[in-house]
Amino acid sequence: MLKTKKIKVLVIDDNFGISFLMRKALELKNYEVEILNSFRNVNEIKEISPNIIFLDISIGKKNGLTISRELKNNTLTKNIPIVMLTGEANTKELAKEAGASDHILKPFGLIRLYKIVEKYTKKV
Amino acid sequence: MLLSIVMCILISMSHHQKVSDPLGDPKDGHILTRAIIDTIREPLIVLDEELRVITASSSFYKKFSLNRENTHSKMFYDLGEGEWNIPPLRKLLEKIIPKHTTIEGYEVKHNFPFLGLRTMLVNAREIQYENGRKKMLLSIFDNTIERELQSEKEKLLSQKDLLLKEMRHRIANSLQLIASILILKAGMVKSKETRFQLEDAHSRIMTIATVQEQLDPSALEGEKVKIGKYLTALCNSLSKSMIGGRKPITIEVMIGVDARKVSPEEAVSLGLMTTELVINSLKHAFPGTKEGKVLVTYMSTNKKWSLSVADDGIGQSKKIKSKRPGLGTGIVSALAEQISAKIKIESTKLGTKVSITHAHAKNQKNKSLSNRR
Repeated sequence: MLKTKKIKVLVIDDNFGISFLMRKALELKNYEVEILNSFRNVNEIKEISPNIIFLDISIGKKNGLTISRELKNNTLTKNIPIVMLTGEANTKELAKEAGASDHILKPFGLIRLYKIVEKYTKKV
Repeated sequence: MLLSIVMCILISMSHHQKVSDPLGDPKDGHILTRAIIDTIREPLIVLDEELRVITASSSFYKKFSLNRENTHSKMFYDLGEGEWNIPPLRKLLEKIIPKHTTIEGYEVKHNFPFLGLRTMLVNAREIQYENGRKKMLLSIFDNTIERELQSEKEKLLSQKDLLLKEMRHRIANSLQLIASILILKAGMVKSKETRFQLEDAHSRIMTIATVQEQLDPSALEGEKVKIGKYLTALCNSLSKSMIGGRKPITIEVMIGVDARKVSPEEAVSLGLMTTELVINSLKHAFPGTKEGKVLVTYMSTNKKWSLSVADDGIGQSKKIKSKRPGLGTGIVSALAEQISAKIKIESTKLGTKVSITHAHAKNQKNKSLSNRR
C-alpha cells in the first residue's frame, strides 16, 4: 500500500510556549512538526529536512535574519521556504533581504498560519 | 569668523592702501594682527609657505603645552616632540589647501602625549600676497567632548531602539500565547456557546494587536495610526476568524476619503467598539443560518467623525431593547464616553445600525469631565 508522506514543518523559536502551541495548531491540520528552541548549525536543519521553516526573528543571542542568510547561502538548505516570525511590522523588508519567502506578524491567527503553510508547500 | 578677521588684516597689510585706514596706519597693521591672534580663545597658528611657524595664539601654546620661543620659525611638523606630524594634517596642508585655498571643519583625530586622544576640527586658509608669497592660517577647535557626547547620545538612542524592539517582541509573544491558547481551546470545547465566547475573546486580543501592526516603529513620539487602513485590516481579520465557523455572513468596510490619523489609544477604542458591534450583529441579527451582511463605515471631516456598524438582520425585538445591556454594549458605551462620542441606535425589521459620532469642537470640555469620573 502506498504511504503518503506528511508535510514537515519546522518551527525555530526560543519561546517554548509559542512553539508548543504552533505544534498543536499545525498537528490539528495533520502536519508533521519539529521544534528547535535554538539554532546550532545548518546540518541539523538538513537532517530534519523540513518542507517549510517558521523562524523567529529574535532567537536567543542569534538573530533570525542571520540564521536565514546562513540557510539561504547553503546549498543543502537554500530551497527550503523560510517564514519569519516577527513582532514588528517594519521587519518585512529586512526578512525579504535575508532571503525569507514571507513574514508573519505576531500575534497571528490560525487561519493565517494554515494559509502560509499551504501557500509554500503546494508543490510538495 | 575670526579667521576672516585675521585674514582681512593680513591682506590689508599687503595692500599698503593710500587712503586712510580706519584700523590705523597700515605700517602698524601687524601690531593689531598680533593683538587679535593673542586674544582669541580658539587655538590659532600662522605658518609661512614652507610651513614654518610665524606666530600662534596664546591659547594654542597653552592648549598644546608649547611656548613662543620653542616654536618660532620651527617647522610645524617638528613642534614639541613631533606630535604635529599627523598624516591627515599633512594631507590637508600639502595637498588639499593648495587646491582649495579654504577648508572648514576638517576632522583630525590624534593621540597627543600630554592630552591623550583628541578629535580636532581644523579650519585652514591660505593667503596669497601680490608678490607671490603665501601664508597659512590654521585654527584648531578641540571637538573631543562634543564628539564624545554625540557618540554617547547615539549609543543611548541605539540602546533605546534595542529595548523597544525587545519590548515589542515580548508583547507580541505574550499576545500570541494568549490568542493561540484561546483559539485552540475554542476548537476543543463541545459547547457552541463556550466556543463562541472563546472566539470572541480571541478577536478582542487580535483587535488590540492589530493597532501595533499599524504603528510606525521609527516614529515614537506622536505615533499615529491610519484609521482607514487599521479598520480595514481589523474587519478582514474579524471576517476570517469569525465568519467561517459560524454563518454565511460578509463584513464590508467603507472608509471615507478624508479618513484621518489617530492616536494609538483612540485607534484601540475605535477598534474595540467595531469588534464588539460586529460580534453583536453576528450573535443576534442573524438567527439560524440566515445569510446577511455587516457594513462598517468610517467617515471624517475636519470637524467630526462617525463610525457606524449596520447589519441587514432581523432588528432588535422589544424584548432585547428592554433587556439590560450586555457586556459588549457596556464596553462600547464606556469607550464612546472616553473619547467623548455619542451613540445612536436605529433598529427596524430591516436591520440595526449603531452610529458613534464625535464632534471635535466639543471634545476638550467633555473629555476633561469624563476623565475626572
